[in-house]
Amino acid sequence: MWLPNLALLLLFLSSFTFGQIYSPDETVSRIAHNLMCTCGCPHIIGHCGDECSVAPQLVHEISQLVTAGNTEEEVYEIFEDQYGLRVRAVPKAEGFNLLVWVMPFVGLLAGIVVIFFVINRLKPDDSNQETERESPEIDEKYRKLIDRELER
Amino acid sequence: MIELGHYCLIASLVVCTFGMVAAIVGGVQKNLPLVRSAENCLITNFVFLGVASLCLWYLLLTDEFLVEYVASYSATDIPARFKFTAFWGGQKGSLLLWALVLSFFSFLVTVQNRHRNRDLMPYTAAVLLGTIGFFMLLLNFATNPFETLNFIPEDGQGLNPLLQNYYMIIHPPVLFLGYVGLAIPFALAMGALISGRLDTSWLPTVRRWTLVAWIFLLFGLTLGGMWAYEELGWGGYWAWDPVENASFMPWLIATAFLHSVMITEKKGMLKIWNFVLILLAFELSIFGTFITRSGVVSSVHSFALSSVGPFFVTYLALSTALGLFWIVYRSKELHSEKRMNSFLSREASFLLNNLLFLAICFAIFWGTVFPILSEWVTGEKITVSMPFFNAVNLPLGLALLILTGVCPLIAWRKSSAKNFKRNFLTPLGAGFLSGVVAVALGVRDLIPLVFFSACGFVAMTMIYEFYKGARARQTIRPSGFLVALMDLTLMNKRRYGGFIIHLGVVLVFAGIIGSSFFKSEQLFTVAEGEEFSIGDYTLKYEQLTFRKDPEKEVVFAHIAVFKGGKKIDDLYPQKDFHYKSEQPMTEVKIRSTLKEDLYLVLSGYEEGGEATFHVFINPLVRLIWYGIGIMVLGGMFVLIPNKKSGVAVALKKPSQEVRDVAA
Repeated sequence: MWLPNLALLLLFLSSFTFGQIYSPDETVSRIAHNLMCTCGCPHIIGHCGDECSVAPQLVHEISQLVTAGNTEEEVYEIFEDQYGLRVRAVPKAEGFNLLVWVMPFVGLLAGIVVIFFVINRLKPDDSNQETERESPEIDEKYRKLIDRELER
Repeated sequence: MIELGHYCLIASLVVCTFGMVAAIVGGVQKNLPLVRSAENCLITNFVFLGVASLCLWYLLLTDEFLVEYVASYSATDIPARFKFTAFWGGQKGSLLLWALVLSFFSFLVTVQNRHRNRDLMPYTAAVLLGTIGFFMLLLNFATNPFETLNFIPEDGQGLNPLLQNYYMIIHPPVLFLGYVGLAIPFALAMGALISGRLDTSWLPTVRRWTLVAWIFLLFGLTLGGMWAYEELGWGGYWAWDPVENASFMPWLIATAFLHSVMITEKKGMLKIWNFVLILLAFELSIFGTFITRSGVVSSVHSFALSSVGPFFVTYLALSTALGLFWIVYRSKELHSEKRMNSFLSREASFLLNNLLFLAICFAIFWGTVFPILSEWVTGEKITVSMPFFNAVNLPLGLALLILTGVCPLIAWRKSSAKNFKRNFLTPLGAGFLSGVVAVALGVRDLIPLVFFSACGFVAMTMIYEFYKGARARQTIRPSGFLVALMDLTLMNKRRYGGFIIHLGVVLVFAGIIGSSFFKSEQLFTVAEGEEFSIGDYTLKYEQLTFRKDPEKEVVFAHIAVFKGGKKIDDLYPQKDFHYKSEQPMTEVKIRSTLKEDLYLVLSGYEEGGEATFHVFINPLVRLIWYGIGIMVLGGMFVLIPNKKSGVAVALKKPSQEVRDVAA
């Protein structure tokens, strides 16, 4: 169950990246940023252009549902029943659609594991350790400079 | 002109086919005349596509509506500059532009490599001609821009009003220069793989071409963002639209490559990895073009569902298979010359940096294609939009930002605890101080605080690098600090140009965090003469005015802007009603300062003069544009060839360590 919870947490964190829209009510604002506009555009309600006549109606609808005591998830369910699954800006983290949240982090973890093994598997490269290729022509002044730089 | 255009496209296809065969046969048989012939095909091809493009421009500028493309994207009443840009207003023209730009770059590569990288060139030319040939197939048989109608319409349908904007004059071609630019590293890499020339001598050429593409992609993406900000009227600049994502992904991979190639050039490591990145960047640029042209995903940018999709899928599959085959085939010859010594080394931090770029790219790719995948599996249409991309990329972006500061502080090979402590102390102090300043300025949320602190840490790392380098320079050649700083920067443009880019990155992050977390917006419905307030601003709605232009009707409101009781500006947000478009267009007005943008939209109005305004305050947006400007300039600075450094001149035979220091 931790994966859906992680998804919800991330979704919650993402909502911080938006300001208020249309209403001072943060819940309405957050919901408007997690639902797609139904005018046919590819935008969330909160970002549908000002020419759109549908977005303000949807915000009004959300506001009424919140005022009537519905929770955030209940509003999403009502919208989903009314407009289909596509109205959610991100699908509910369940079933096959859970993969949308899981895969990016699985990919990252797999990458970290690969890097860990690649580095761990490799023996230290002795040939690279020291100054075997230093040229005898380097005078003391430059040697000091190089030593200082290498110490960084 | 129509016939000439047709013939040029056919001739180009013939030239590509002949040249590709000649290049491969010439390469295999070591037949120089055949190889030269293939290279001449690349030059000839540029001429044919140049003439074809001039024909299309001529037809657009002379209102030749017999041509279906001209009738669809131009009209008699649009200004000449927009007739010119209608060239890339639709699918057919933009594909011709793709081919034109690629043929131009191929021409440059041919001239650039007349006397170098000779082993690679036959196969490089074959790959380039194959890629142009693919576009020629499309343009000749699937989506011909010179296709005519059965009748001559009185007038054309005109260009989408959203595209009649100065950003749209330059945004698509610049973005295409970036997309197409990635074909050159791919072709050179394929040339190296097929010819078996797997040393690092060709890498500088690839790196420079990738950097050119990287600059154009970044600039193109920014222009697109500025266009969205000023034209779409929702107060933002980036919506994670599939087409925006498609342009962003190759840029991310190109950035990863520009970092990892340093390891290959310096240490001989990550050779296979670099080939994979070059292949991936190119395939993602084709994927981006496919997403835009095929209409498989819903986007504000994409053209209608078209017949070119299967062509792109086939080309993507073939080119990926070809690239992977050669990487696997040569994998034994691509082993690292040196090995990694420690997790606490610059090499390891670069690997981690690559991993993060790839993870961000994968997350974006996954979110972009998941709706298609989900529909295949579950049969239900779903959407994956902004909340997903913000949530996933927020932690990854933070990790990448921090790593930007960490990388230069870690030594090559292995960092000792002592070095680690000494190098990190000052930047960490600056990061902490930035956090304190942010709190003092009123920032209370944890996420922006962490980001602002990270910005301070990275900025100080970069500044400190300049400082330390200049001081070291002073010990070699006594001079003033500024002279030493300039000497140092000019002496090693790659290293310090990179730091300049990173300083730009810091500004971009600060701008994104500021404009995302502290944005405020409100709707106001007011009558003429009434005042309303948002943030520190008081706005007075003076009056509504109507005006008739030749191609549209304009309604604009006069808003006087006051701050601290003093009038500071007059803004005129407007709505345009183009006669040929059913949809009204919003013309946003923005009062921009370094601190914040006052963003004003005329949302609606009544006959009696009452109007509704959507007002946004977007903090620090300018930092984003300035930051990207610095990144672009930094990239251009890196492209300037290096002069021999004082240290290098002083040493007859510089050691690897000296070269590392100089790098």
